[in-house]
Amino acid sequence: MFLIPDNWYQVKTLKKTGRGVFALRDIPAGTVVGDYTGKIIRFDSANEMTDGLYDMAGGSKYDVMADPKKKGVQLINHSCTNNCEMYPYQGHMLYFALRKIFKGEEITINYALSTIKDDMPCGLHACHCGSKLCNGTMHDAWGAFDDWDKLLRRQFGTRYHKLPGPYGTELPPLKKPLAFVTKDYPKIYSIFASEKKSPIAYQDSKLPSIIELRKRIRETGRPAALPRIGVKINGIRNGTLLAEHI
Amino acid sequence: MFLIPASSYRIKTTAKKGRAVFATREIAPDTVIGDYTGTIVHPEDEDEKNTGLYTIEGGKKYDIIASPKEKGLHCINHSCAPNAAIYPYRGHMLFIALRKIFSGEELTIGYMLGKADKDETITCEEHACYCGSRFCTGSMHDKEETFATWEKFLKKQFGPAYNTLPGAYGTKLPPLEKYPATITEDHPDLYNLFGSEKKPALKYNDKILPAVAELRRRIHETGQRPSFPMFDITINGVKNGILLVDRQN
Repeated sequence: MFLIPDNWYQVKTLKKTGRGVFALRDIPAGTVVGDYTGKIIRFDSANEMTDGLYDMAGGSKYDVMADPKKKGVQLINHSCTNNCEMYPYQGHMLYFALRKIFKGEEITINYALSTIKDDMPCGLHACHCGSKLCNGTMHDAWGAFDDWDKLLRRQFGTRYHKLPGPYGTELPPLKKPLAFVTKDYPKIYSIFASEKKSPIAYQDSKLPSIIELRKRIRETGRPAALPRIGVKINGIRNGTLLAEHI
Repeated sequence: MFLIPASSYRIKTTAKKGRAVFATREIAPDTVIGDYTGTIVHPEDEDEKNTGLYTIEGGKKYDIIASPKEKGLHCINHSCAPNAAIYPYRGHMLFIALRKIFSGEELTIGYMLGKADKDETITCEEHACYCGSRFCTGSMHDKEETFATWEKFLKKQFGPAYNTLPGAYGTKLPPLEKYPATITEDHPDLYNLFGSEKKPALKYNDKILPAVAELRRRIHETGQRPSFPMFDITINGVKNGILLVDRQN
């Protein structure tokens, strides 16, 4: 389910990636875009071959299986330079804008698929996001889940081991969903500037801190150019800056 | 078949990745490490499910399957931050050192796995990457665009050998009469370059970040990551033209 007004986004069908969700206006950083709703199913029980890639991991006992026929955040595609992220909140997975999203941009998320016990044909999880920073896969590195799992447990608290409802029923909506996610988790969330927008030049003669660089990308949505150093920062993935020489 | 002296490498069995090849002495950049030899097979007869990931793509009409029982280049693992690479040469697939390789380092290449069919029987888990590099993508597959560039390069490099069979199917690939001792690649769009993650970074006093070609040259020559204390930057590597930068404290 989307938590932004209907006139903020549009669902379009694309050539390579099926349906995609596009912003119809600028969306400020931190905005909660939606809540991943659907049926409560047993942990890891989804059959991707028949049901598609529409299940979302919940706590230790359940996944949430969305209905692909419905409009909702399940239609948001994966990208290696995603502009949204997942925020675990009261047993739900909220999607929020990691940075300012510009009008016309596709809204994207990092699926962060695990390869462990993944018996799907290896071509199925190839990435077609088309970004210069594309990894070619929707998978994440082995071991990348530890920090995520820590955040999930901390955020869910006692809900982590509880079922939010009986299997087969719809996940009950939040009584009061968040409007904004303001916290940043640099170890977990990679951040990328829009590849379509021109950079903003800053006059630093030394590389600013990662926190400061993240803040600039988050608020402006644009790459940070540092002409006095000769570098342009396009994003930060797992703590590494992805940069170009200028 | 290795072309470096037997005293330069050792094959060891690892916990997660099966066999692996380690350098037992320093290997100079551009060194031709070996030639991927084995049996010539029709590309459609390649069967990874049964024979394992021991096939390398040759020209249009053939693959080369190495015998897993033998010792050879097929024991070299894939890495997302490799120090060696496949280099197509006269119908053969040579492995070259992309940069200086230090004694003790594992020799690794990018497997250049292309676009996999959605109905292929090989699973995501079977092509998962366990290189353990900071830049691991989790998968041994490259993005489609990279593989397309690679195919073009292979065709150009092989020339007439691309459409020729080097021998009858089922026979061994005949070795080349003569091997070059070194090959310097000139394709930054295909060969990503990473400084050793184990060695300390090497300091430079440039006042502004050197061009990508110069950064690549330094990594190639020294095997180490260039670091620039003047503006707090360490370059870990260059991937698809993108600099992988650490902020130095």
